[in-house]
Amino acid sequence: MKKLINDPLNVTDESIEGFTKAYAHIIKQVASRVVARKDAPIEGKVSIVVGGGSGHEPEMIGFVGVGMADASVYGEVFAAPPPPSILTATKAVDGGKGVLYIYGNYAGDNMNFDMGAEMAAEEGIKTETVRVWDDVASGSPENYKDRRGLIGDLFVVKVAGAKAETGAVLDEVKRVAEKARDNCRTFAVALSPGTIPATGEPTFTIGGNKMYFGVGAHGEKGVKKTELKTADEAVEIMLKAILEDLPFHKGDEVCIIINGYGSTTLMELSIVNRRTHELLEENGIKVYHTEMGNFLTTQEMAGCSITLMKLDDELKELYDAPAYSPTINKYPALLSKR
Amino acid sequence: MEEAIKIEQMRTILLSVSETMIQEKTQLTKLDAECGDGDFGIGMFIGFSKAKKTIDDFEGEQIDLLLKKVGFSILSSVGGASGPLFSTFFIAMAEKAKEKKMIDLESLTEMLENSLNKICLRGGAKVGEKTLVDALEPAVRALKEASREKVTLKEALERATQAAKEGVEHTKTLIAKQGKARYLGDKTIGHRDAGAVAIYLMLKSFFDSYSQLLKENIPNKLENS
Repeated sequence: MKKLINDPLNVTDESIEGFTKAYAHIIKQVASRVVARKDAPIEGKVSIVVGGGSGHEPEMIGFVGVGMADASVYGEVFAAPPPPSILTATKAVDGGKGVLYIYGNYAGDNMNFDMGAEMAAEEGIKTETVRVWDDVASGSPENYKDRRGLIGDLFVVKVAGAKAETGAVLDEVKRVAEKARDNCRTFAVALSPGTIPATGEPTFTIGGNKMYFGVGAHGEKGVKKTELKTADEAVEIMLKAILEDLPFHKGDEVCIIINGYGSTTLMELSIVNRRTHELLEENGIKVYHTEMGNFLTTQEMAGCSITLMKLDDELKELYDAPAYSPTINKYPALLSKR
Repeated sequence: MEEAIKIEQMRTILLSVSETMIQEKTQLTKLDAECGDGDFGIGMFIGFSKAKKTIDDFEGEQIDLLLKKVGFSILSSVGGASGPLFSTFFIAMAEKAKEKKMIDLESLTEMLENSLNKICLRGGAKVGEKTLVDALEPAVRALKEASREKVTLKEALERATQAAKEGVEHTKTLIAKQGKARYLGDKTIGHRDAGAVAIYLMLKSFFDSYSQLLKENIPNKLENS
């Protein structure tokens, strides 16, 4: 796979530097792998630290901003950040009201953030943790804690970030983050793999005309390999798995994410979105808002995921609250009342 | 007369272990790609490159401090699942090497048993879940037995390495219950666990390096203490 890079071992550092320069009106780099919102730390506000392996841009670095996360901390490509980096991020944004960690539920992230939290506690900073486990393909509903995190964290960060802006205490911010998380479900498909820059190796192999259902964000092998299907057929399989899982019912109102994994075009995502809306309408589920684009990528992996978050009045209000970040922007004042 | 490892020899051994892990980047990455995401070898390369530099720069006399510094080099540079686990390996060894000028078989057994316990505590893995524990646990068991039988340190290390190797082969029959591989369920049967292979390679390098030191006849005898 051809990549426009320099030394493969420098991709993480060089991309953080370049990304920060592109969004210097919102974010600043505070350490080699840590990016914070430009006005951090904000006294009297609960701070949110997100993180994970690099290589999934704009997740997580693009989730930093006003009404979103206060800092993002990166590890190597696809590898959780080490505890000292997590501590650096925590100290950089702590405004005296505590710090909430939000990240995908992976063994590496869990261990490193737990060690980071232990180090923060030694320095007198209170932290809480919300692990995101929205991928329905990665575990049974009973073993939901075994499930891995996909792009559901975008909704969790949006909701928690909005709550933190209200001046809410750490436990309250954690409560709404968990509520958003528990109402999120995602299902992903892949058509071709991404490659790790440092090795040049694909994260999985797949036959020419095949596709994977239930694939992981790091190219963890999917649960079912099939012949390549049409977009409409794929959406039907994906949505069936999602709707049965929560479960979602007729009359529910949802926000959705149509996420591209890197090399799937906006044309393809739009076609996926079209069928998603049709099917949801057939099921009597109302789409309140759609986010469509590349939010969680795996290098040049081809594929997409669909995420639904079931709304209630509280989640809706937090979802609509102002946000200013590289990835999500909400300017409710500019809209006439819906 | 008992055999034991002094600070100078520990430096040589740890350098050899680090070089092995640096060299095995491609093999470890390939193994990881079979059931995981294929970044394991890179993490080990980064961590042990930093560890190697730490060992090169180390001028102290304390074995526990050297081990601790090696652990923190890995902890601060690797991340992922392997960073906390492989740094814990060395940091836990250091905890049981405090004040020790030389490491005999009994001490080494105690140190590696602590590594095993602390790794299980951090990662939540048990024996039989297709993780590095399935290589480390049999190795520690072999060391304990060797310690009871009062065999030489060299023979004990050889047995531990062999036990780890058998542990690695056994991981082929196991279904992954931890990490990213667990999502593949029984599709993981037939594959060796990359973390277990890494533990075996580390122990083998430890043994090879120690054997080489014996051959070179570098003073390694501890007068009856």
